[in-house]
Amino acid sequence: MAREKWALLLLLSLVAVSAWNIYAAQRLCHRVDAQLLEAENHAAGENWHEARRGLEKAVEIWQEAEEYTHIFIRHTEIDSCADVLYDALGSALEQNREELQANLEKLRYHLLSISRMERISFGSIF
Amino acid sequence: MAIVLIRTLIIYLTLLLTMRLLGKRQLGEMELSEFVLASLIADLAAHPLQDIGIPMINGLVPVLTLFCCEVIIAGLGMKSIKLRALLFGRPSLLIQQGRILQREMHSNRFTAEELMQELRNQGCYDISQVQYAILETDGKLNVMPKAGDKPITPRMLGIEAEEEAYPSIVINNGHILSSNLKWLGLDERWLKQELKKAGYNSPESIYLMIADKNGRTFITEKENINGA
Repeated sequence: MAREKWALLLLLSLVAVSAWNIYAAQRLCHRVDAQLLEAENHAAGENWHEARRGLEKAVEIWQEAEEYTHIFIRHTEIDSCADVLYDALGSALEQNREELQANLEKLRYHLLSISRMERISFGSIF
Repeated sequence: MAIVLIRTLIIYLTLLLTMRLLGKRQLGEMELSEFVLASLIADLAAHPLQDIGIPMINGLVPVLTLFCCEVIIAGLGMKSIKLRALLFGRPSLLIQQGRILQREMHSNRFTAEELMQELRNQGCYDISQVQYAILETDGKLNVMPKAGDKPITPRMLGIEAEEEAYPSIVINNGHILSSNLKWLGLDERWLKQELKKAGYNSPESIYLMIADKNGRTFITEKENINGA
């Protein structure tokens, strides 16, 4: 029965890591989203310097999580997110409000996709 | 390219370890769940090898999960006969007391041609000699011949036969297998004496030596396989 117990332990460990991964993915997305919201609000008030700082902070959060994202998330999703994040930063640098808004919407969609990918639901399973 | 190489090695070692831990049955006769596992496991593991954009964990987690499920199910099957029957089925009698059970043949989707083929695989070319034929849960057919068609044994002739001892390899390609020698209750001194009796100087020159507890041996010398 020892081998079965180890197998059960391993299975439970996989379940635990999966549960942690759901939490980690959602936390990462929320942290980045919070910075995006801050940047969006600053851009709305024409405070481009602060908007840029908010986006740079979002980039920093994303880069800090690089090891996690590369281990757990499909690289195409990571690359898509990173692309749009840098595009948004570019929009803030150019002080282009419409373009920034569009990029932020796109980015939110990608973050939601990542967050939902790991969430247990009928849609994500099938 | 380096990434693909490293991933391949990791996936390969994981598969090797997983299949090894699952036991010899995976290599030979397979129960249904084992067959499913073997079919799935290689395909699942291969995905991250083909596309380095797919996290390797997407290959490792399914392999490990399947491994855990198989071990747990097999373990539960050992504990519960009912569960084992539910998961793996029961053996089916296809021939009983010399009569083909057509209902069982039909329910197992076993044709007459397949029956004859499996009997031939068992070395039986005359179906009238079969008393029982059992289709096992792993798909193998086992045959019990009629009493009059069984090979003659010493016991049938009232002859007392000496019990044979189990032979073990004691030299393999020049290397002495001390653990096997110990299991046979023999030692290297005996081994060297036997080699000397047979006209060989050293164990290094021996390709294969088999011995049993009765001291019977079989020795083959190494050949020069590299030519000249």
